[in-house]
Amino acid sequence: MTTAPDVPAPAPRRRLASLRRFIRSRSAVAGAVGLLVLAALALFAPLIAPFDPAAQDGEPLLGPSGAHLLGTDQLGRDILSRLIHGARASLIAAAGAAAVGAGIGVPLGLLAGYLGRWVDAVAMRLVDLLLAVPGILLALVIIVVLGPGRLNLILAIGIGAVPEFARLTRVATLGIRDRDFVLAARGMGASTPDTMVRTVLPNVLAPIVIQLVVTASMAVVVEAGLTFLGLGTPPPAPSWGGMLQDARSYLYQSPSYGLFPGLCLVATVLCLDRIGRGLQLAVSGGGPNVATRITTGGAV
Amino acid sequence: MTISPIQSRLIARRTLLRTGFLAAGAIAGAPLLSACGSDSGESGGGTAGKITLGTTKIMQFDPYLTNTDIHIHSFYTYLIDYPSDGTYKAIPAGAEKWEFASDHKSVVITLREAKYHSGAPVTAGDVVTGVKRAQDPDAGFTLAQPTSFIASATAVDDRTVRLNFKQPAPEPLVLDWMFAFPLVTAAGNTPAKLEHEPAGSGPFRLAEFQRNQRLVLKKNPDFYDAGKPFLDEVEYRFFTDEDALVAALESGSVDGAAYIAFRHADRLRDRFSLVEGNGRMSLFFMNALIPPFDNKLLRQALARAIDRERVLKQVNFGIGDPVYTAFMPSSPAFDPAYLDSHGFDLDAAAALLEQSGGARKAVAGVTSGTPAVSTLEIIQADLKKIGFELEIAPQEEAAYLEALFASKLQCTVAAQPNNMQSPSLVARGRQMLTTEANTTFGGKVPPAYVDAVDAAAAAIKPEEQKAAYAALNRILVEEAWAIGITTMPSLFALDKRVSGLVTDARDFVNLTETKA
Repeated sequence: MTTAPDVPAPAPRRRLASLRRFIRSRSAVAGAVGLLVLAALALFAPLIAPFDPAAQDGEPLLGPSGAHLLGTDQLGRDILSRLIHGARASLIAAAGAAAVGAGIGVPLGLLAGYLGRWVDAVAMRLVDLLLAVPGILLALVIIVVLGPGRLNLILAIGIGAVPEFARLTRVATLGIRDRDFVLAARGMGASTPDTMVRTVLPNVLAPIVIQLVVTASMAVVVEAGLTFLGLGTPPPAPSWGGMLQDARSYLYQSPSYGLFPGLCLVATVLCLDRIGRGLQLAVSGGGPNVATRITTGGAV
Repeated sequence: MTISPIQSRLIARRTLLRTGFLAAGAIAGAPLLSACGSDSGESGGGTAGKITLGTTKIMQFDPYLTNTDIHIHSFYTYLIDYPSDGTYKAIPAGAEKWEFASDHKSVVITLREAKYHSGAPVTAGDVVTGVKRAQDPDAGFTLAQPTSFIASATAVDDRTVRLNFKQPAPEPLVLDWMFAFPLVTAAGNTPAKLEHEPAGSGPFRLAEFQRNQRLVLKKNPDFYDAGKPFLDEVEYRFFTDEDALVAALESGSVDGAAYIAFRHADRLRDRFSLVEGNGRMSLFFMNALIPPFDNKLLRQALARAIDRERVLKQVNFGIGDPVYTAFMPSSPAFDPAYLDSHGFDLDAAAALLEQSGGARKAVAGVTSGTPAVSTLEIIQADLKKIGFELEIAPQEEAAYLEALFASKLQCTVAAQPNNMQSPSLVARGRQMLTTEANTTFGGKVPPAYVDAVDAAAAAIKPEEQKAAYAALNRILVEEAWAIGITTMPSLFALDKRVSGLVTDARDFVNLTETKA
């Protein structure tokens, strides 16, 4: 009896199949389109927004009208313009936090999973330390220590996401480090860093990409939450969380004020959620998703 | 069991629907849940002679400290009272009568025959001990500066005490001091002893206290004013969230909500009695110890860029009055002409800014999530129009207060108490002290300000007072570090069956004549 060689399928063919599965998921495509629209709004906000988001030129608390499509806030600022500019804060926080989380967590997990022994023990205890503190509390502490600001906000949310990336990468690495194609790479003289980066990392990327989307989705909510508490994006820069905080005081006078930033937040999180789900389907081939398989050690 | 892509999509749609319902439920249920969250679990509602009030304020028992707003008039009797209408006609309380020496260098106070909650009689010795504590800067806290005009206190007999002043003192200053001076047993008048239990002779006694949960006050049958208080019992419930407090009021769980934000006024106006207390003032402080605010002209420029009317309308919901410095409109030193001559004028501000030649950038510290942030946003937008960039840096409250007291903030919006009928009491706050402990000037407090405060504290005759108050106004406006914005009345929402709840001149709740 002959055994099939333990090598992954050619990457281009796998990617094409995954892309097909992603496109077949209509909700995932809708999520991707929605996110692209949001990204375009954020990118071209100064061109698209009808008013300067900080200009206090209008009458306060106007309802939706021809002049101000979504009305004005308590200081007479155009709500639509603030929503459009507010997309920047949310998407930058989402992308930044995911990058920070992956930037620290993936190398940590790769080292722990591939090298094992004391490196694994030390890395995982570090991760345990981070996991011992609830994410929002950790972000609050970091913001209080470093002070509010966009960069500190991204750092705070990103550091909270490190454990997930580290654990996910470690488990995925453990699953393939003794497979033939990794051993072959070692046998052909590749150094340890080279093997980790060129052979192992490309083969554990799928769950990491999904985790990136999940983290981005979480970051949007945490950014809004911290800004709602007054510790996120500082005024007068618009942020959906900040708008919700302001609107809370004027629910009686202008009920629609709080509705719009809330809807934007829900829409963004839904888009990211749908993309994440689509990616899971794409990489798992329709079976139990890869992230679940990996995080549960294959026992689904 | 494996799941096909189709099943997977179905599950995803179900998950989507479930998520949507959960989100909608969470949004709809949040106010309800928050209303339940802070409740003690016991149903409230007023019964005959009992009311339940909710508050988000923290509290402690020592009347020499701050954070005593909700109970200080319940546990303690003061030497005199003022009417709650904002006027300053002295009403005998702990003191039955008082007589000033003709040279204004002393006053003899006769105490009313009264008992503390412990049953011990109120004596002149208690007043002497209380004055000594107030004169100690480390133990006197909020009473230290107002007591600074007193040289000594002597017990003439059990119920008579004589206060000698350092120099002739005007009657309003002495009366304001008597209004703020609580009667505390001599034996119990230390910060340590008062930390856990009050030691006064006020209309209510402490019945129960569970920190951050509830405070129960019972009528004091030995209160000097026979027949009062009208209520048998008052219960305070402590809430951590103001929305939860207002929801508790609307659900009937409490009979009143104390010290709530202006934003609730419109919503509650038709269904509850809204009571406005005397309140405090909101001021824009610029720290002369940190550039660019060491530049007086620049401070004067920014002082002209504060649009008080907009703050009143858009931040205070129309509640309150404009002020130009730390004097309430009821103060004898309040001069409304300054609201015109030194009011909002961006052209004048731009011209002064040009003359100042100083830097055009500063950072304002502020507690996050407070109305002060919106006030600063209005100031920020106006300053931007004249080329001054004000960055707003919201902070968590504890970090903010630490920075404020350590004089580390360039500028901020903060509250200032009422100075009642003694303009020299303007020098009470940390930013307003005449000593080097002043957090705005440190050791460089303008001598003209020190002289003006001293002159106001020494002016006896009406014409002297008029001149002294005018001089004090001039220097406050000239030095321009404490710019008045608006008054901030406190706000109470009460069940319509509750009446007679008032605040005193310092904005402390007085329940002596409250009925339910």
